[in-house]
Amino acid sequence: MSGEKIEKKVTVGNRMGLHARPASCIATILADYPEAEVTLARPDDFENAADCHSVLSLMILAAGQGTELILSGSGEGAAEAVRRIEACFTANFDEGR
Amino acid sequence: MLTSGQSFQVLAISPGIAVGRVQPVRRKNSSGAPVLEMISEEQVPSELARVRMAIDKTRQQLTALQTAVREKLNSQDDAGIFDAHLLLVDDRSLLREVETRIKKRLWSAEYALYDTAEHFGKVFANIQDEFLKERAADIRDVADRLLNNLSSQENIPADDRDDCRIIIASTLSPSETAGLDTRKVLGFAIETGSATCHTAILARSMKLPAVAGVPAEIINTLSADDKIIIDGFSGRLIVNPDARTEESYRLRAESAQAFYSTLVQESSLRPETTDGFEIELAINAGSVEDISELKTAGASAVGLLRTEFMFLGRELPDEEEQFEVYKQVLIAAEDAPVTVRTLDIGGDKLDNNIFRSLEANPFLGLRGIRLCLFERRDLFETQLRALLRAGVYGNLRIMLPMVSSVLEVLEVKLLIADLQQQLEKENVEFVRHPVIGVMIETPAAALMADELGRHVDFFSIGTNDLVQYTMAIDRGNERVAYLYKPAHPAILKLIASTVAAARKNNIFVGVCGQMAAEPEFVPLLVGLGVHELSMEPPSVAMVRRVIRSISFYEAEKTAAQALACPNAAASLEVSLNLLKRCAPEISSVLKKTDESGES
Repeated sequence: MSGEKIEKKVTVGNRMGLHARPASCIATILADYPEAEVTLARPDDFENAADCHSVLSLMILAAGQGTELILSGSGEGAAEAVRRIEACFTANFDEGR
Repeated sequence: MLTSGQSFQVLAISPGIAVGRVQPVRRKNSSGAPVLEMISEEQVPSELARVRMAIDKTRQQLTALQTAVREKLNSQDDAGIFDAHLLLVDDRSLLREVETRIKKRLWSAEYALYDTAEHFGKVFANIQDEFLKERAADIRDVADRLLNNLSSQENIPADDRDDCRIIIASTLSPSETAGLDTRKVLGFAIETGSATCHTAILARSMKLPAVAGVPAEIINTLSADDKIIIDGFSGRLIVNPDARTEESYRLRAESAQAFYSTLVQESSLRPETTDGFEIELAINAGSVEDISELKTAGASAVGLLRTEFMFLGRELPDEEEQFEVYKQVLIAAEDAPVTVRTLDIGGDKLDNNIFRSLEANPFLGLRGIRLCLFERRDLFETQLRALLRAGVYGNLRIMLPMVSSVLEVLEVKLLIADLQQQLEKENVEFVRHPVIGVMIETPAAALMADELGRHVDFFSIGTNDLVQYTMAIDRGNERVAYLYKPAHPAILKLIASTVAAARKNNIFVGVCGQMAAEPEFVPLLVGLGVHELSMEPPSVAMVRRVIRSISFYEAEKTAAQALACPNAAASLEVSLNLLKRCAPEISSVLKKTDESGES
């Protein structure tokens, strides 16, 4: 349902951090869910949450290795989008470490 | 306002004649920013629509470029750099920011886009992460494309029958040039650039007539309704010509074209003078694909393989990747010698990946061998290892750029010996006695050629830089372009001393600068005793004809005369006279009229 909000904690595991390629991975996933509102934010700074639809906005987070982030989603398809993004984080964006 | 029929002397940077209407490419003004233009509430929807259209157009261009690069270089990796650009074009935040500026602040689409790009550029520049910082360049690149597409939409009238146009712009980047559709573009005229800049080199390989050094006032005044002629042989630009002028240029364009086609049929003839002195004709190449031009042009060597294409604007290649490329090149060239220039970064070819610091005067800074020996020895070692390994697959010559002292050569030779030992230990196949040469492109190298010659197997004179450094002029600066005179006796003397040193040391000497490609200088180079001329493949045909038309005996006399001339105009005259006598068909195509400048 669109009213529900999902929240997951994720950690940036790859050595290079959330740079252009991982950001592209996330934005590309979100392209499948145009109606979903999904954001990534530092736990202490929700004001500057990044829109996961936007590579720019994700890169501006400048989240380096080890950064903990809150992944939140709402709207149609959000649950699935969040799950897929979480999986990317777990797999370190296929970059090894 | 421009008067009809007005004619301007500009710089010829790519041969050919084009007659047609103008397509102005307007961008940021000289201060870098578009003018802040306010719009009314009613204009908001149309401005928003323009932004969307520019986005669609940019996306199409990027996709096309990506496909082209993929097919051309046969590589997924290189095409990958456009993925990031494509994502940015459709980026939600970017669009939202632009739209907000149009809706709330009532800014024109151009200014809104420009301001948004500046905003993100600044945000990125402030990020500590070095990798992310570099993305600011991607954003600017995409924003530039969007801005271009915003402006060019307005200027192309929809009802035009022949849609072929001559592009007018203050600058064209190499990537923009590569992206031009040669079916729709007749040629281009730009403000900033010279015959040796990369945009010009591309134009020549795309067979697009082009001129540079067009004053900004002219560029800004020309509109889509104006018709112009550009003459890429003699460097002329004529605005709104009368019917007679237009007709005569159209005829000339045709005959020049026809002449080129007959020349091309001579590609199997030996490049020898009438008295049997053979010159090695070689091509300059910048990718694996270019090697196929060897056969098409009827050349017998690659006199210059630029390796920067593997390094610029992308992730740095490792040893394996480079090894594969060099190996492919050598195999593709079969037994023909391939002269690989080691990394020549610096000057106008800068890259954040490679350079650690900015220099006030990069052409006089850490460039070529200097960068390789001191700042990025790591890159250099990797490249040399890859070359030594690939050398077993063909006829490799290793060429060092920007050498200004013997010590640099000795240091490279020591390094090569070390790397060979490493490879031996690792049990990897490598070439034991690589052919090593230096580029003669600084006056110091030319004057010390005798000493250098004791340690190397060949010289290759890079005339573009040799002229730049000898005359103390910046190649990219059109205000001093009038001093760019390869026939200047000062340059001829340096070439003569290089050839003398080569003879004394029993090594061979080639020329790989633009000078080797221009018919009017060929008699001088042949006469001075150069063994090899290397050029962009389209120029080979005409140079072959020149060589086959003159005798070595006469060329030598001409060169001696030119060396004794008091200035560049006089020495060029001497050479042109020989050409007029022995190859009148070529001298009539050239019709050089811009040699009035006194040295």
